[in-house]
Amino acid sequence: MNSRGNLRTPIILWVVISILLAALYYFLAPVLAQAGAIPPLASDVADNAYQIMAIFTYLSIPVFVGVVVFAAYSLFTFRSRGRPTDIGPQIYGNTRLLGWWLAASFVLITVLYVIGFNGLAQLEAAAPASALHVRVTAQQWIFNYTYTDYNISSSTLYLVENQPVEFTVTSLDVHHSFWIPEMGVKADAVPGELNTFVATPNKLGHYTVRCMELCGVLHSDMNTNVVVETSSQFGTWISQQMSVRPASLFAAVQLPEAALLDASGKRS
Amino acid sequence: MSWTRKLVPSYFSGAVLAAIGFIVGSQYVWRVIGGVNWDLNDPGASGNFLEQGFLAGFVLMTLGWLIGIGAFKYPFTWMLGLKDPDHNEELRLAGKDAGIIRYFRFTTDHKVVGIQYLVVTMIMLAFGGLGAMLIRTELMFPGAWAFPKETYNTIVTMHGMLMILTIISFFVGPFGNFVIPIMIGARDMAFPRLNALSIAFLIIAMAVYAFIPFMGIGDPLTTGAGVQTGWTVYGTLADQTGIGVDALALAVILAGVSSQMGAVNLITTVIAMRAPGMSYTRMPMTVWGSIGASILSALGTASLTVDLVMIVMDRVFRTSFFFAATAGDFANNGYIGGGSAWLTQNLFWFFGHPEVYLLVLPAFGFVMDVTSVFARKPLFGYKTAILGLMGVVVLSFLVWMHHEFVSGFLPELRGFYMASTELISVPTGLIFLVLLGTMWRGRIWMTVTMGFVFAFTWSFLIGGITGIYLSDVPADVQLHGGMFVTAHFHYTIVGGALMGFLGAVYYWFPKMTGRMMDEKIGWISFWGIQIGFNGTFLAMFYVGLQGMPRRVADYSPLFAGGNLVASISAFVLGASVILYFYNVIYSWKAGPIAEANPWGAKTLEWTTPTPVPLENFGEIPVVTSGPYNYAEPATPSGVPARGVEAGPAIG
Repeated sequence: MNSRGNLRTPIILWVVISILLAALYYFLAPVLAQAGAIPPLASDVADNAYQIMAIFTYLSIPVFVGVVVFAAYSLFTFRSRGRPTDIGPQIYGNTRLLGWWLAASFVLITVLYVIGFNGLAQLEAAAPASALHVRVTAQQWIFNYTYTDYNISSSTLYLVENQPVEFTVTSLDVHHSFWIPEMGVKADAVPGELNTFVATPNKLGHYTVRCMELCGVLHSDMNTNVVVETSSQFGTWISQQMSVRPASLFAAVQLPEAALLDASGKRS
Repeated sequence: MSWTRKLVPSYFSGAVLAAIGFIVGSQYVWRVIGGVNWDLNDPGASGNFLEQGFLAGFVLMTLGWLIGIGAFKYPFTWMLGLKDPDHNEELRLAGKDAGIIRYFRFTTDHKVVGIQYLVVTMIMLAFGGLGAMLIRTELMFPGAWAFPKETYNTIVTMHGMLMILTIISFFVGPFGNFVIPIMIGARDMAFPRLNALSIAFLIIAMAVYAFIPFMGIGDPLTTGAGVQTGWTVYGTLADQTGIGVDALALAVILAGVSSQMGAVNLITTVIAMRAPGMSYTRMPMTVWGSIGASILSALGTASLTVDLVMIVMDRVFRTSFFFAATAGDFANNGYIGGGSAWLTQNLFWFFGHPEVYLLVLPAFGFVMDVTSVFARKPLFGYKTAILGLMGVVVLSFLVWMHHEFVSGFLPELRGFYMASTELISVPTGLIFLVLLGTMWRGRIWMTVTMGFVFAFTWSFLIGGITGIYLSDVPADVQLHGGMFVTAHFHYTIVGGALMGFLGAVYYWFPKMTGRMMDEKIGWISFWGIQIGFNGTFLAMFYVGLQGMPRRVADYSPLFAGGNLVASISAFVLGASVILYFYNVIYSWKAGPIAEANPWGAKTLEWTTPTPVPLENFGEIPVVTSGPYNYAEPATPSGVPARGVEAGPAIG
């Protein structure tokens, strides 16, 4: 005969292990983040995303531990040596437990909805009037940035600390995806379509742009730099650019993209 | 001569006609239409002739194969009113007294088709796994050190698509065909010829697929051979990649048709061929899971077929389904424009997301079944389990746009798709409730199959929880397209579907081959697979969080540590899978002879003798209770107290 097993042991294990894991995560997460487990965060959008992930981690610890503890407890307690000679209790279900299980599922889902829709509202907030407008044009295998407020183009992205920026992303050839890991900015670059994303960089520094959608042979090399600088540094850079690049030359460079925008006629 | 009668028609004559068909089709386009002086290296018009020749070759190859294996024989004899096959002829077509050759020809017996599927899908799995090993070799160190980048991209594409095709068919193919008709008390599938045709389509699809890495070698117009798009084959990139994309499109369309034929057949069989007393609420969960998968397969696959047809049209006939109206395009590329690049994403993912549930649903059903068998307890909530499976089926068609949260397509719908995606965790959670409840206070017999059930529980739990992170729009924006996603879906597909498959092979091996699989090798390979699998993909979660994109041949030294761990673990996984395959081959030849019901299960397939006779049952059983009644006394043959009546003849 098997040992009977009881409900108390796995429930205690469940609670204790969950609390231990949550505590471990609480103390270890900053250390790991410091050690490079996640990119250094540099915008409001990234802060938002990682805050949500942290909440999700706390929510999923009891779910994960619960299933693992009950499965492992069953395995060790109700295991029969070799082929069983008798049968288990013929239980065909438990409506009350099912009810509680469903109730708990829907409570968890509701929490997810609250977090998710709240985060989505922040993500979709319209760009304020003070926003810097940057048109990101992807093509194999570079990103090109146009500052529509100043009629300037650049292959390196310069942004201003604490100034919201509205990216408008498109592509000239195949699907690309514009990602700044440290800033949590990601928008697919879809040929013939415009895709907008608003974020506010909040830390000075040098960051990277990566292409996130397989776009051909050199996809893995499609990385460029982002520089977040103070508004006076940025102002200097802008005036430099405007002086070295006359307006007529600029217009010629912009022709293909201008044609693209006129003809698509959508979402501009 | 007797051997010609044996070999014609068979897969051998089919292969000969397929080769002739390919040569005739391709050479006709290249030599006759293209002209004697047509030059491959002439960049003017060569690209299209090259592609059209291959396409014509593939089409005639498929036709030649189907003619060569005799698939058209009966439709034509019926159409021409020559002769109706009588019962004896039907039995001969089902492989009666044919010996080993019945596995190498168009045979209608569902058990033969099941074995054919098992062998074909395991070969596909081996090649897909080889692709995975090559990918991990390249990613072992930063800096594209093993292959050129274009080769790496082709390997990624071929690994992804081949694994998807494998996993679509590796449960409902071998077990859906071999086991499910017996499980529901039928003598065969509802459409035996359609069944034989579906495996024939899969085989020729794989023959076409094998062309991919060789197509485009030396083609001056494209960068390297093969297909460099990833398995998503977005139309924009597919247009400029190597001509291997034509082979990929045709192979996937053929395999899709194959899986649709199998799906329709399985659904009809379950609806129409159940034994007396086998009500819907007495069917084992494996049947329910496979039905769910078949519904998804029948409804979802068409979208991918449409996508691939459009891609081939864009490439070969210069249509512009996926190309927007950009002014420069006509001058630069010869397109008229007016299409949409979002269309290719939508068509792909409308197939793509139901498809991932199609992969795991049969495994859901299977693990619930065997948990009941090895715990000697009925399912903890039969209707709860059905609710879980069917809830997943319905919801899986309402979530595909979570793959496009960052695409810019209808961003105002993101809230809805986030909500529907998170809702899917409710029916999935019910499956876990059933599993845990069935284990509770059971008599758990730790066979290797049961080990895979625990592995399934562990892996799918991790896969499901990480899926919650990806369903949330703000978190997904950060994680989308990175290694975190790759690790997540490998935890659901490998950890769900593949663990289920490996357990199912071990479980039904005695019934399918008449021999037991070796338990010791089984456990060694089991632990190797678990260590390798978890090591690989936990490390991949880590580099994903660090910010490593998917499908890159080269990466920043920042990610080197995690990738090295992932690669070494992946080689452990690969070696363990090889050991598992060795176990299958070795046990098939020399394993101990199995008794009729080695696991003490109550489902109908274990009431038949081993090997299962041609029409399965002497008399069709009458079912009087559910599949998990362990309290019922068993008769000496293993059949619970059930009445019998004379069954109808086949055909």
